[in-house]
Amino acid sequence: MKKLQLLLVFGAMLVVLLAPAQAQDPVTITYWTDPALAQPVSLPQFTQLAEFETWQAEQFMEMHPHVTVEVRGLDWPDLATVVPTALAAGDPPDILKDYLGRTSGYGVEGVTVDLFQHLPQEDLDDLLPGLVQLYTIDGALHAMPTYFWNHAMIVNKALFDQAGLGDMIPVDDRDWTLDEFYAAATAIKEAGIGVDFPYTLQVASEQGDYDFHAFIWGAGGEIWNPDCTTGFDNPKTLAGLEFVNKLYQEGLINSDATTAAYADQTNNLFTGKSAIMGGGMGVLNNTIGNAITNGEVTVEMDPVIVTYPHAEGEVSGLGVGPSGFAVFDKGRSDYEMEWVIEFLLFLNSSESQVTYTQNNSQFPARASAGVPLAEDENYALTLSLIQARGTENLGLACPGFYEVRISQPPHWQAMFLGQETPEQALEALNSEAEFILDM
Amino acid sequence: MLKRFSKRVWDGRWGYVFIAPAMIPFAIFTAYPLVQGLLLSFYKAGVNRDKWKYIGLKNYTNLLTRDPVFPTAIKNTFLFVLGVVPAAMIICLFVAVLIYPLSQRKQTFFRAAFYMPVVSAGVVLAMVWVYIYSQEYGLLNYLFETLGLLELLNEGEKIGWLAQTNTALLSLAIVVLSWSLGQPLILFLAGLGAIPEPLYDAAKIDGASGWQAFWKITLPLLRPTMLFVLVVLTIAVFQVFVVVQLMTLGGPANATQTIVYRIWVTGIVGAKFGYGSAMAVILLSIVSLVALVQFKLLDRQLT
Repeated sequence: MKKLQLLLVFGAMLVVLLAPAQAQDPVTITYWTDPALAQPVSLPQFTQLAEFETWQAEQFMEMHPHVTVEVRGLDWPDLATVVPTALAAGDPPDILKDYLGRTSGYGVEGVTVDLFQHLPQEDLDDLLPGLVQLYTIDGALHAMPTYFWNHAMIVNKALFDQAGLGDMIPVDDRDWTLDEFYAAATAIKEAGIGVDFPYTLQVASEQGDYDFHAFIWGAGGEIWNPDCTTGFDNPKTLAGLEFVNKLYQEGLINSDATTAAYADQTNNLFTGKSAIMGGGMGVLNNTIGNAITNGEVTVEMDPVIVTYPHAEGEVSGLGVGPSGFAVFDKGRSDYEMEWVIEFLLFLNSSESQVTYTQNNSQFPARASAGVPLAEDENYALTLSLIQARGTENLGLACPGFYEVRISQPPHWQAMFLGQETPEQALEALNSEAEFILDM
Repeated sequence: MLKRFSKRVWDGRWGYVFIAPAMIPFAIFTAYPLVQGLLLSFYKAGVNRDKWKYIGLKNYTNLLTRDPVFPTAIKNTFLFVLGVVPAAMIICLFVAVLIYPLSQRKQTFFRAAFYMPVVSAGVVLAMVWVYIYSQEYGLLNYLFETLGLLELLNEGEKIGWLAQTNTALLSLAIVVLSWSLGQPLILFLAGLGAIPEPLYDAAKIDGASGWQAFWKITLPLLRPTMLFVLVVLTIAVFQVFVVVQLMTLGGPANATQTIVYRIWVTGIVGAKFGYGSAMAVILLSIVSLVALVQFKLLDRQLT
């Protein structure tokens, strides 16, 4: 009997001893990230892709020694190819940071975890409701939003002032009509101060599309309707397109827009060949800020943010696009998933969001992150413009978004080159979009 | 039956052992993906494997009847092949005949010069060519301006070589051509070296001119090399991709779309793996058919 008692006590001790060890079983998490924070402004010690994220992972691993995080950085073009291939091969990462236009596709395909089932309610409540709505696909939260960029128009007012045309820029209310924009663009071109192409644009790839779409939105048209059908058959879309085409044909847009890369586009602004381009806080503080620091800007620069021009009676909202963390369904055990979510919450904590947004001039997705760049007057201005004018529907969460997106540039190019009229371009796009969405 | 087969395998066991190092990687990395690709072409296949669905020939019917870009890609690919392959063959043959009589040292210089693009990084070469073709700062426009050709061709306006639909494909074809000369040249030089010298001596004694010797001796005896070069070059040019990806992204206005670039855009970027596989199967069929015709035509002349 005594022996049995001893055995029971020993057994109980063993269970007690083993229980914590079970909870601390090693876990390996793979985390793939976009290059948005490859060169954080306020953390100059990080200069390489994924260096900052690796440092973050090391912090996490120090706190939780049984967790190993493998970080991989992907450039923007790689995100569109490496991730789908990895998914099809059955070897995706646990966590992916990318923008909504791509993660939504994974959500539609049903390969992401429904984060409504995994995130604590207090974290869900902390996310901006509009973003939660955007990220909800078929009732599931397909990714956790972290921050969003904005898209407006940036005008180098110094060049307008130099030409005596400063009063043509709407610095008071940041609002102008298509006619006022056209008049200002024509005037600065004719002023003879070297502004050959007032508006700099690229339609060689889909990367420049918001700079193009914004005129369509300004005319009251749509690329995507709220029900995720396309708006290529909308007469106002045609009106917007005709306006952009007019700008190009009259030499108000750079003639190499059909083949220009983003670097060519910004170079036009930095060298004074152009005075206006699309962009938001990121372009203002990071792209232009870095170019000034690096001595790439050869003209006087006084960039101001205004909304895109609009037709009479229409309102130009701002383009807004969030990025987030998607968790892929890899059949993880509850224990492993617990740590994946723990790492996700670490990556997307309020403090992390402040760090991200301070370094890429974007806007946090958590209410508790506050206004990280409150002292920046353009940041406050942008927020007020979003509140006053609203946001445009980019269709980022629509099925087929990315394919419809990449089908557009060839038709914008054909229109600029005079091979398609705006009507023909839209007709062709309409039938292509039908084909894509039907497949 | 099985016994006979087993015996045959056993008798040839050493042969199988010797070819195994080549056949095993071939089976894993070429044959298996090929079969998988063929099977996949009958599926609607996206990133979620659980949702893959058998759809029979629908990918093929969509490609051939509804896809608005694929026919353009086929046309452009054929234009590339029809432009680049004959040009590369003629240039390489001409250069090979020209440099063959030179000293070994001079020959080596030319071999190296022509082969250099083959071993150079595609990205670097593409960047150089983008600079050459640049509308604003490009070397080509500068040259044309200096020679007064811009005035003649475009009323003095600089030409956007990659920006215009009527020049973009030709511009890319020239780049592909420049990359395609190295290997055929080496092969033609080797082929020339294999022609017995006494044949030329005999022709000389018979009073044949250099031109006659070329037509009656060099060309017929180079045919096996020409067949090989023709087939290999045709297959390579059918797969043109890098220049398109790096220089034009298929633009402007789809003027430089090619089949392999469409496979990339639709199959990989668009994650329509089944649809992309159907494109790849069509490409494979076209290339196989063309190679077969080439073999039939030239092989007949060889025998």
